Amino acid sequence: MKSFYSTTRSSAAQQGHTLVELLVAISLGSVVLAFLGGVLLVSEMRVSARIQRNLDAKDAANRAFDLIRREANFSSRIDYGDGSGTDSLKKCDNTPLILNQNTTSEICYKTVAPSQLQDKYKSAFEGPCVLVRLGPPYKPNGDIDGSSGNAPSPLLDGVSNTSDDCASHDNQGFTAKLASLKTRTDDVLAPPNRFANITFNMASGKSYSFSTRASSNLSYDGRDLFRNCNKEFGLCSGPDSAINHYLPENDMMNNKVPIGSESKDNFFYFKYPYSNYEINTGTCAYASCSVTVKKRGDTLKLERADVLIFPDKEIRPTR
Amino acid sequence: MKLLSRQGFTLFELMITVAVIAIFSSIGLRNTYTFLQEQKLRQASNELLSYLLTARAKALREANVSESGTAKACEVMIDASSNTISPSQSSAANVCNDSPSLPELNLLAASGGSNLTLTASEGSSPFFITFTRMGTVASSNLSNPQSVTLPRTFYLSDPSATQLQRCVMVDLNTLRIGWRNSADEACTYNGH
Repeated sequence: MKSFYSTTRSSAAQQGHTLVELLVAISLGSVVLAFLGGVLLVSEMRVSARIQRNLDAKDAANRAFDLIRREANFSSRIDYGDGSGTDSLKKCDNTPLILNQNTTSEICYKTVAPSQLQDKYKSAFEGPCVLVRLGPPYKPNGDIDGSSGNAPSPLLDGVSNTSDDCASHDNQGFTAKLASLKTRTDDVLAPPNRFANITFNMASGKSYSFSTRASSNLSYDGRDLFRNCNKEFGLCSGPDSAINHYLPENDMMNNKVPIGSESKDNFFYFKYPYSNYEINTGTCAYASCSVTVKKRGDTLKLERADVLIFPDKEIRPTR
Repeated sequence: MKLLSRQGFTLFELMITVAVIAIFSSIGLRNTYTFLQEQKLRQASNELLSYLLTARAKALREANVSESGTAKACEVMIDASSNTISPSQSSAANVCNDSPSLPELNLLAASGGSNLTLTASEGSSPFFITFTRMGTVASSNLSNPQSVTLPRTFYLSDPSATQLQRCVMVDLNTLRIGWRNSADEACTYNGH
């Protein structure tokens, strides 16, 4: 009698594969799978690296914007340099954007080629152009250190180059279009530019634009707008003789109560953003307005205040 | 069934197989080990960068007027001997100590590594970095008025594989992260 096994394994065609054949098949299969997996992995890594690069670039552009915007907000006027300076990392000649901090300090922004950077930066930037801030460093209290010279700090890599030389005024990789606040007809000085529309054109083809303005707050050295102003003033007359401008911080220290003129509009300027002060709207009227510095606790009582100007807000007390 | 087909492999064949497997796995293991070391360094430097960004954000958000009427700043201290970064305690004007203060971070624990060497382009540990209310890095520190040369670069490495080094560059308004080339010791940074 034939066994069950001998029946089923009677022909050679039903013998299946040998171990060697199986091993060869598995090896070939693994090689093919590994190759396909590798290709997929590499393409996936390339895509994620590209996304990361784009995010990094956007982040760097945002950070450069933020700095320019803040420095402009704290400056008195915005200017440009049309000279043809050769030492592009020392002088603010030939720059599309200069922020005048006060009479002694200025900060400018320009593009240069990575090869023009100091050695310590060269390997860290690829170009074609690099946006550089040229200005004094910062003190820990956030003021710029006017006593130090201008030092170049690269802000943004990968800015495009549309001319022969990154440092040329014709390079459209970084542009600033300036505009003035208003024309002053009653002053001999030319109206200073207070607005700027700034654009970064990146080599990647991306373009970023934003607008910014210089401060109109006397506390941030906006004193070029006004006559008879110096650093110690409490009262400063502006171009418009119908307005008195006060910096009440000085009076707060001396516990004085500044009282505005009855015949003029009285503008009071505060140094810190609005959130640093406490102003009870019920107690802030033209006749008497209480302003408390939150962290210090000292209170200032203003009388005949027409406008309270903070860096980020204006308040007009009720009359 | 024939006797020949049940002979199996000779000792020599087995030894060859084992040797081949050993060679391939040693290459694989080495690569895996390097990859793991890279990942831990990457993690440690990312943690450092992220801490500095948090300190910068806190300075931008909170470092305004203080009780004494002067503006505050955020100063952090990097201690290479303990691989920690924390707000420095030495100045009342340090906004990063204000509640909720930034907690101390141990870079070694955060990266899961077993050893870490932290050095800087200049100076010796502990290193201080001060972020101003403008979000910029100050050219001197709250606790130490001596001036600081920017940019400052911090190098992170595993002492058992010093050819792998991460760079974290701290400049006036720029924080960048990349790898250090062991040949010319220059750092290349990711993206723009």
